[in-house]
Amino acid sequence: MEKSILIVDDSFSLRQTISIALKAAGYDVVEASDGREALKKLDGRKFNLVISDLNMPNMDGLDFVREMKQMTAYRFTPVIMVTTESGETFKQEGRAAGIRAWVHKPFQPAVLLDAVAKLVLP
Amino acid sequence: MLADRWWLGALVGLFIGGAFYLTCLPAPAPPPPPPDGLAALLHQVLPIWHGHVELARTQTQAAIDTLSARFAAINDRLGHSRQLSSEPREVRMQQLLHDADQQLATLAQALERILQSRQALQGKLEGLAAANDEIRQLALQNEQLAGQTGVSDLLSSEQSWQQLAQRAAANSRQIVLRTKAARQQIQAAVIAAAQLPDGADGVVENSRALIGQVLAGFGQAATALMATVDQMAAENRAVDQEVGEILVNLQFQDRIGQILEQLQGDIARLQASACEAALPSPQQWLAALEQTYTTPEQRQVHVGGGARLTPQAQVDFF
Repeated sequence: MEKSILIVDDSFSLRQTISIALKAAGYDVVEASDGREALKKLDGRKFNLVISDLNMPNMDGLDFVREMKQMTAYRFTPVIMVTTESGETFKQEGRAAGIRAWVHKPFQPAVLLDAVAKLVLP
Repeated sequence: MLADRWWLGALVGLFIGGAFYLTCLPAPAPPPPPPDGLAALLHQVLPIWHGHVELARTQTQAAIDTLSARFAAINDRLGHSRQLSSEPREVRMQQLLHDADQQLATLAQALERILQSRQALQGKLEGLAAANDEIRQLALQNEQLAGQTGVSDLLSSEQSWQQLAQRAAANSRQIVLRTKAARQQIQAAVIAAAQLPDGADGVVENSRALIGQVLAGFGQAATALMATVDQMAAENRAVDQEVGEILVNLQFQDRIGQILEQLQGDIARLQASACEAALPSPQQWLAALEQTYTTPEQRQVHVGGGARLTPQAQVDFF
């Protein structure tokens, strides 16, 4: 059975970019355009990993991750933050929220896939 | 009366002379207007906006240039791949299979001829064996007849002795006939056997050569196919790398969108603030603008640096 990954990003082209790389590597992909929509996707189905942008309308990446970590079913689901933000303050906040890796845009697909392979749940 | 007014004339003269003197002097630079809040703010903010627009323009240009180059490279590689799997190569393979089919059909016909000769020879040898059995049988009967013409029977009856003699004579004639026929069959078999080895040797040699040719043809085709497969695999890897670079450059849309969005936000903020009585100081304004930045190059532009992309580590693990 394919491992399922939730991609949360308000940019359609970024979702496509990440989706192409993940599907080519054999992952199943579910997409959401912001934190609020992503929370609706967390309906009990299993996600082996979540990849989220930081700056998004309606609900940003950090708020989304904090709410997600409150949900029993997703408490231990690893999260990779993919963002242009490079400020240390944000990284520290992300780390405190339970984010496991911080990937800077623009990234090489191989770099993201390497991070995914390291963190994805079996 | 005029003498009473001499001072008035002197005053007018002095005034005209002074005016003439003043017009001949270089005009002094007008003093700078006292900086009002909006002008001072624009004086500091506009260069930063300009820098951000330039940053967005540079990133767009660089990303589009790279995308164009990558698509061109992919197009070249696809063209090369199409050449690798082009029609002449397929036609050569079909010709090879056709030739092999014909050569092997010739070989099969030759082997079939040998098989027919062998079956004919076997038929002759079987006939010879049957003749041999008949001769042996006739000889056995003659031996038995000779046995009956022994001690007691020979003198018992003249009639029976004559009968035995006739039967023995008939057997002897049959033996002679069968032996003659057998000799002819042996000669035919010898001739057939003599012809067979020469033909078979030739067929075996020809077969070996034909099989060698066919195998060599397939070997060359397999080598060419392997080379093509290797080239195709190399092209695939190269296309993968090009696509990877394309995916990187497509991500600049997100950065550029973010830069322009922040710029739009700041312009809207200024529009709203311009109507207010008291504008924030340029320092307060710039500090608030700086808070919206997400990328190192935006911060570089803010402090007067160039619109240059800063390389940074791509991933941090916590």
